[in-house]
Amino acid sequence: MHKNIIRIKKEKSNYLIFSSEGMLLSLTREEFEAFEKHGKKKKINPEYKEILSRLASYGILEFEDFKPDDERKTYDLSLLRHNSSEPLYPAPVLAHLSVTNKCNMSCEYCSVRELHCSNAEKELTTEQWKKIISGLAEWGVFQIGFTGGEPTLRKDLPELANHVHEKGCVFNLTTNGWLLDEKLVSKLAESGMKQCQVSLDSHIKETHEKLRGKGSYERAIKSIRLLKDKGVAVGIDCVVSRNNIGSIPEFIKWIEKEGIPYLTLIKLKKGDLSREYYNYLMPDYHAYSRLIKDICCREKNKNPNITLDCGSVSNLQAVADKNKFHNLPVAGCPLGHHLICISPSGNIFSCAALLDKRLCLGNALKDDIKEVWENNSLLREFRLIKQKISGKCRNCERLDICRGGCRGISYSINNGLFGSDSTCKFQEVKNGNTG
Amino acid sequence: MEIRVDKLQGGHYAFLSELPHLAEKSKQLSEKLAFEKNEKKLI
Repeated sequence: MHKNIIRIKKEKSNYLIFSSEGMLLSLTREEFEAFEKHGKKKKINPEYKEILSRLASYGILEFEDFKPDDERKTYDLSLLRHNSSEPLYPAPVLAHLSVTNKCNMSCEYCSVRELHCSNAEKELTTEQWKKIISGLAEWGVFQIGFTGGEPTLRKDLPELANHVHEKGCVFNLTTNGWLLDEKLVSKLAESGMKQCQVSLDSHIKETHEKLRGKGSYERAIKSIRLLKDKGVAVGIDCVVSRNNIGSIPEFIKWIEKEGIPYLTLIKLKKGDLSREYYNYLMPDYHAYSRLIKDICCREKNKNPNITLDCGSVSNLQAVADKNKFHNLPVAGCPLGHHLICISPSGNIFSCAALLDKRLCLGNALKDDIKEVWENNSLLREFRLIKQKISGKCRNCERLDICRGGCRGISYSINNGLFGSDSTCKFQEVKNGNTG
Repeated sequence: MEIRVDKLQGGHYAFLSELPHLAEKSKQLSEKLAFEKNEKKLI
């Protein structure tokens, strides 16, 4: 029997299955026919056992006589091989909607603080966002993530969440949790929210509040527990900096004990922080790499499920030799392929780490976003990053996997859009310096 | 069949999947080495 499926979309010769659990699968025609015809049955057809059992292990099929015991995952690794100005897919898999620049907190390391304090950008209305969301859904975007500023400051958030859900996309929210009370969480859960990230940098109140501000710890903890009680899959977004890197191993144990399923480690971005402050707060490359290695040596299937942001992928390079990464589902900078970002006034950007108005690609209300995606010259250049990158990344053996680190970091530290991510010390590690 | 997105945590950033588990591979390698060592002793 089919389960957790919110949408099926044909894409050229493939079929995309959108799962409400946050998974996007691409099936060939033959695989899809097996899924359609035999997936509806109560018992598993032995002739198609291989494909049906895999789909069952991914949570989109259920059979009376078959219980999946282990997931064998096969990831789309086309980003690693890609080297042309054409997008991988007709539409990005993820759209970040920065629905407001306003924020009710003032985190010390906020990389877009100037934006939060500025009233220059006029926010879109509810109807305008709904129009954009409808367009994104029709285009084929899978997940629509609400961010900001602080998105819960918008009173229409449940209405927008419901619209995302009605259009057959997966709604996601990133929040500081301050305003999440029982009423709002219930409304969002009823509107189709199945997953939500709450920003929390440590299980130690003083460590978290040192950079996030007084009172933020209790609010974050309360919102995490509330979301869990309502059955929402909670993820913690932890910004890794010098402030908290030493306590992250214990933080992970705390997260496991609390039963929180997901953790994403996000490398500190410079944005509009001063160069000095950024250098001071930035996590040491070697220390972060060692932390990642320790995480990789955890037991399998142990909660939480830990992911890294793409800014951290340069640190990941120090963990294992190239051969071990051959079939692993890692992705470096996904600019121009996996994501698109839309600002509070509808301006289109390639990434939330590149919100400089000089890098605006167009406007979602005025321009054809599909045309922008396919033909915008900056996006086309980003897709050729392996050819265009300058500096030490150019001849690095990990360029395929890493794709030059974070463009946002490179740009903000004045290395230009196509400069190397100078926070990376992989070359030093290769030469025997492990810090 | 391929996974394009695997329980994506859609905050500000995108990444394909969870970090790899190298511990199992290390354990398997240790067991293999121990087995080979024992075999040599018997011979």
